[in-house]
Amino acid sequence: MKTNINIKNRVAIIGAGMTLFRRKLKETPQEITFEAVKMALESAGLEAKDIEAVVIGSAPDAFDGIHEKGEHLADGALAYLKPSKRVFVGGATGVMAAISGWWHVASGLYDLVLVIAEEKMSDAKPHPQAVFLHIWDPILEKPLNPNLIWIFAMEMHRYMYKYNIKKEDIALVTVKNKKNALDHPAARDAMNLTVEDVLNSEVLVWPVQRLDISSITDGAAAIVLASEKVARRFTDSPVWIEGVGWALDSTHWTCRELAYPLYLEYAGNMAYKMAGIENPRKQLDFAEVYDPFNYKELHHMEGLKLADKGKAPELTREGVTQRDGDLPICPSGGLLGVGNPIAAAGLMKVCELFWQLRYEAGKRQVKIKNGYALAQAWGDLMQVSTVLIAKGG
Amino acid sequence: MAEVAIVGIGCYAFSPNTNFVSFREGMFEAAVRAFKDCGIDPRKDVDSFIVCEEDFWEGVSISNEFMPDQLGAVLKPIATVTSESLIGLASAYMQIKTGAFDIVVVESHSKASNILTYPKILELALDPLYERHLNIHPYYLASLEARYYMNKYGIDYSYFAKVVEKNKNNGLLNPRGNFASKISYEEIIKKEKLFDPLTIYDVANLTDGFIVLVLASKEVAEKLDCKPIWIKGIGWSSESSSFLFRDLAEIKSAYDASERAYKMAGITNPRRQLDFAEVDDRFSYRELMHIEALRICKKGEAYKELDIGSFNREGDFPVNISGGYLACGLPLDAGGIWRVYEVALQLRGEAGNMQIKDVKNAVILSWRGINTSTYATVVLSNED
Repeated sequence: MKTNINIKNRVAIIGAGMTLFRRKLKETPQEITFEAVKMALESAGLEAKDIEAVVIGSAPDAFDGIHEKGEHLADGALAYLKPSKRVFVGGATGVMAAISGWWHVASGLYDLVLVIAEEKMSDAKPHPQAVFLHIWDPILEKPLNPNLIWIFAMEMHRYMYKYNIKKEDIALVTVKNKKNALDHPAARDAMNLTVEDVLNSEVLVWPVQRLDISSITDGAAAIVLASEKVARRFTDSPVWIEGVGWALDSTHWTCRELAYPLYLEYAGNMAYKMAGIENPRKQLDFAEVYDPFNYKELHHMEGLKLADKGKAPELTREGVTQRDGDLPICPSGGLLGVGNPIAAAGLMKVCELFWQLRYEAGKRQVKIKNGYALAQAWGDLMQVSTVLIAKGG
Repeated sequence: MAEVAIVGIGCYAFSPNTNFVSFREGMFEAAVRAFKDCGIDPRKDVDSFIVCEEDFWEGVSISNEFMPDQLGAVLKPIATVTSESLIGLASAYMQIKTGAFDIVVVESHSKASNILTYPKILELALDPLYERHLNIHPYYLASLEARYYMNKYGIDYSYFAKVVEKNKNNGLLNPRGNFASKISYEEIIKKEKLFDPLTIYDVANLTDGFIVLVLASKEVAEKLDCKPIWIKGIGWSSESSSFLFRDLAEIKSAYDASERAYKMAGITNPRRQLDFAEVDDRFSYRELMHIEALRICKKGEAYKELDIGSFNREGDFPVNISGGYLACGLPLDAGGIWRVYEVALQLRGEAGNMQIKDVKNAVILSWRGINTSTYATVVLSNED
């Protein structure tokens, strides 16, 4: 009784859309949702009535301040008298929503499914970080009143200590991603920076500095999924979802080795097995790994076996992960460059796979050799990863 | 025919106040019962987990964080579906249907006794621009609905009182009947109004409870030592979340959800093909609306059938044999799979005093509450 790989129905992505990623968007959460949905439907050449089921992804309810947020957003997602539901795994929600859409179609129950991820963080007062004051174990951790950046500082420190990594090397990720984002029309944080700029930015919690972190953003992203049976009616170049994987580690992060994301290795293995990928480093053309902090990109490359343990900074320094390198990482600009509306950022990465694998990414286009690419997201208490592998043509 | 079965069920601490366990301990206890029920080891055998919980009920942000350890789900695929737990069940069903998963576990729980400001949380589910500033207990929406339904079909309050009498008395046979009582129609009808026309008896009390279900594909279910309950059809649907855009007497999405489930199960005449139903009765009048949505009787005529006793335990088509939420309490979003638990006991013939004879097929309709229009319907059977 092991997870088997006998998937009965293949699932294709046939449309994608995303709104501008900005701080303090004027639209309501429902309106942002609608914008992204409209773009995805137009991209697939569909109308709302063609959609059979809707999957909504959105991270903590407290950002929008709305209880039962899935129901609230369903209006914007045009889910009237349709099956709709919301999935939620913290920061990893964006890719999880796509995975949930995948199982709607792969089960054979639905042929056309809309997946939408929305986040409106900037409504939270005084600051969205306050929402993260309530994510802790109420008995063991909350009395210490920790802040989210503190625990990531611990993880970053542990990672740097264990593999003897310099901040200069980690800063290169910020420089790369913010530069990549210059070509992304929806980007919020695109910049031309140098390593010195990153190292001289304000210290938040050592070793985390301002430019090590992605910023608070509003936005939404949406994709349309179709079964193999109907996909080619709408497009000549569907992008196939070949593998999905997700895993959650123990709640007790204080008892885990923080230098290596074991949960990601499990999630990655599940997806690789499903997609039949044996050597990810060679077979993947590019990867959109989750980069809310610059060290996380490196961390995740190692968890996904795209680099040996502690060796991801080396690949970054050698330029392998640049857009024209051997294994481009975050060619979109990632969360550091495009912005981080939590759930929407995850689904934005899936959108990027769609555009890249269809040669629609414009100036961001990377070279496609094998046709395989991967998107990944991460969340909760440094605890969960979701992985999706797509194949073009 | 059916491809997915419920092979293990577990329920723990279904009680209005569970100050003797934390939510994690409660989940653990329920999970152990469910795993033992079908003889599986979560670490080896389970391929995926679905949990249904909502941050504001839990009182922590990102409540998903706290789910894996006590279910034996560490380093396993586990995802939160923040919805009515029957929709979580539907997700597990779909996962098995993909062919990639053999055993999937669904968990949902209520720790309502920890909630100090229940009406305020309900209010947060209302539209922030148009509805929230009315600043009254959201149950007033239920009284509007009830009044509208009464006017539209020419019903008076006495029928709602009969629903309360039936369910509260049914619950006396249920070990989980926390709010069951030997109350009579005369007592109910005399009670002062809380949300006119509803009295305090017409509104379900909250309860705690932890439920875990184990689902398996056909191949695996037949190998396990268990009494499988087959999922024949499942459907869910919602209209607008805002009551401003809904016809309060027409619960369209409930009809839609039921239609989807019936279509999948191949049911054309529910009254004849099914043996009994469990429907959401968090407000007494809702039971009648939901019975109509399930097409067990004609629209606007459920009260007539109620009057002649068709929905009683011994009646032609029993509804809410368990006593429903009115007698057992409302376990928030765990309500849907709690109903599955109760129905599974009936279909397995393990319902003890509650047991009714010769039952094969049943239907459950669950709702997400007054500020939503989300419904889910599932058709269950003890025959493949």
